[in-house]
Amino acid sequence: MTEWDDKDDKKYFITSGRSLEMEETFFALALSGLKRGIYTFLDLLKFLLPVYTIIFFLQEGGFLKEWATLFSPYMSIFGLPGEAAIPLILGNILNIYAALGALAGLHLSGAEITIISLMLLISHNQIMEGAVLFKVRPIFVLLVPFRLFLSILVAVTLNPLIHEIL
Amino acid sequence: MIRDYLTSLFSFSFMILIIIIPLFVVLEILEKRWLRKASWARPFKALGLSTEACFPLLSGLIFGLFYGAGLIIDFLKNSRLNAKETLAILVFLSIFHSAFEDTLLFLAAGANFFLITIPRVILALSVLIVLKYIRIGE
Repeated sequence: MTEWDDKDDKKYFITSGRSLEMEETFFALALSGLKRGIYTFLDLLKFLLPVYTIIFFLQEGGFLKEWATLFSPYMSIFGLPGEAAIPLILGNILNIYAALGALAGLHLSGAEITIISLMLLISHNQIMEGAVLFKVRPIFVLLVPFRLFLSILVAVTLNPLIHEIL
Repeated sequence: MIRDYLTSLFSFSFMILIIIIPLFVVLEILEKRWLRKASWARPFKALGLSTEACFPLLSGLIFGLFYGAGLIIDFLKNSRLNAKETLAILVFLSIFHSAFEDTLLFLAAGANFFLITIPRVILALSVLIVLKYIRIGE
């Protein structure tokens, strides 16, 4: 038998503000999933499209060189070129969708994309998610620097290994 | 140049679209049909969490910190979880959430699956293991 009885279920789900209808058919669920997928995709495009467009043309026009030389001493710690600072900064301040736009606009190798992805998966959307953590309990806002630190640690560890693995 | 711009824009967007649509259909069914079954909780219980603690942990892990935020905040405020469990859930989720969507998006961008997944799983599980063996707020 399940250990979460009906009473508990109600407690969990009513507070979430979502309906409790178990009778929904698979078709209805698939349809609402489809709707959520489309909304998420549109949300993603809202960030991806402008960021990708700006980064692509800046890169093609050679305007990223100064930016890259500014950041390359720091990015080389992770085995990344200076331009990699763009997806990392956008991903941490904004969100993953913006970072994906920047990644698509830059010309990076598979190993570089892997390192950036891992860093961003651990540490991203820090302002919004920091606010969520703060709302749970103010002390948890310390997880913001913690995630940033972990992402740096993981990248520094992976960097010397990645060319042997990939 | 414009041609390059459009080709990679469309191929990347299309790839994301064909990942996201089926993913959300599956996640919707998961959320409404299976998330409430306690058998999900078993592997986490072995790591020292109570069944009650597994609900916010799983919803964050699957649906993301931000989407599940209201759910998680309400749950943590209304439940009898102790300080240690709340800490374990939050640390775990802060470094590993939205496991399917975010991972798939970076795969679409060209990242290596194993290298972006295994380190995160190890980190997140070690948080739970470390917290299982130390005493806080008891």
